[in-house]
Amino acid sequence: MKLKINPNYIVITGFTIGIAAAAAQAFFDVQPPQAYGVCLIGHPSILVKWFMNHIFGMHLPISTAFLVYPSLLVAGITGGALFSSIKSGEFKTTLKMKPASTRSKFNAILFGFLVANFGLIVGACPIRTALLVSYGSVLGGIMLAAIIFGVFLATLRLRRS
Amino acid sequence: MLAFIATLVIGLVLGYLGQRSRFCAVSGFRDWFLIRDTRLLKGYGALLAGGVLGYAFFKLIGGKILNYPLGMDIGTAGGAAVIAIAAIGMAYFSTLADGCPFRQHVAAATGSTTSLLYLLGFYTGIVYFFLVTTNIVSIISKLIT
Repeated sequence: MKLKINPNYIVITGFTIGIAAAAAQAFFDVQPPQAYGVCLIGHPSILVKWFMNHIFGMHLPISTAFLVYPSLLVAGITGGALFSSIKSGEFKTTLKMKPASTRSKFNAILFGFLVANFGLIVGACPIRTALLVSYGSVLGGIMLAAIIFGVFLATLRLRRS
Repeated sequence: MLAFIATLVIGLVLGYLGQRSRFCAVSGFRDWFLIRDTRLLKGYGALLAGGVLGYAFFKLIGGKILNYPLGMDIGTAGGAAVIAIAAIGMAYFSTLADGCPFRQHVAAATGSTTSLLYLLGFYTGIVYFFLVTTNIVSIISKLIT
C-alpha cells in the first residue's frame, strides 16, 4: 500500500499543537506550571502519579488542575492515532511488519526508561521545551539548545553504526 | 473536570494529526543533521510559531496566560546545568529510539511493537523516577546548591 502524506500536514500539526497548548492553558485551566498544555513527559507522569496516589495510597504531588481527575492527553493521543491509522488502513500494515530482533526490543525498553527519567529531571518533553521558548523562557532556550546538541551527538553515533 | 475533558479532546485531535503527519520533535533535527532534510523540522518551526502566536493572542484577549513572558527563569546555575545535561540525555536516547515520546505514543497506536515496548520502558521509568531517581536528584541538588 502506498503511503500518502499531505506535505502541509506536518506544518498544520506543529501549529495546532502550539495553539492547542496555549488554548488549554488560557481557557481550560491546564496549569500550573506554565506552558504545560501539551507535554509528553508531564501528562503521562500526572496519569501515573494519579493512579499511584489513588490505588496505592501514595501522596505524590500533582498539578492542581488534575487533583480530582487525571490528564487524559496520552489516552486522547493514542485514541486519535488509532482512529487515524484504522481509517487510513495503516494499522494492519504496521502489524504485519517484520518482528524486531531481541536486541532492538531490549533497546526500545531501555531507551523508553532512560527518556522518562531524563525527561522528568528536565520537567519537559521536546514539545513543551518549544512551548517554553514560545512563552519567553530563557531556561527553555537553554533546554532547546541542549536538545539540539543531544540529537547531534546521537547522529554522530548513528553515522558510525 | 474542565482540564480532564480538554486534555482528552486536544489529545484526540493531536493524535489524529500526529499519525497523518509523522510529526516528531527530535527527528526534524536528526534528519537535518543526517541528510539535510527539513520536512519534519518545519513542523517544529510551526510549533514554535503556533506557541508564540497562541500565547500572545490569548493573553491579549484575556486568557489566563500568567507570568508571560517568563524571561529569566533560571533558578541557580547548578540547577540549570543539571537540566541541560538531562535534556542532552533525553534528546540523545530519543533519537536512538527513533522518535520523541509523542511520536512513540502515536506509533504504538498504529501497531508498532517496538514503540509498545518503548512505552513499557517509559511508564516503568516514570514509576522508577518517583520511587528512586527523585531521591537521588534531590541529594545531588543539595550538594550543588
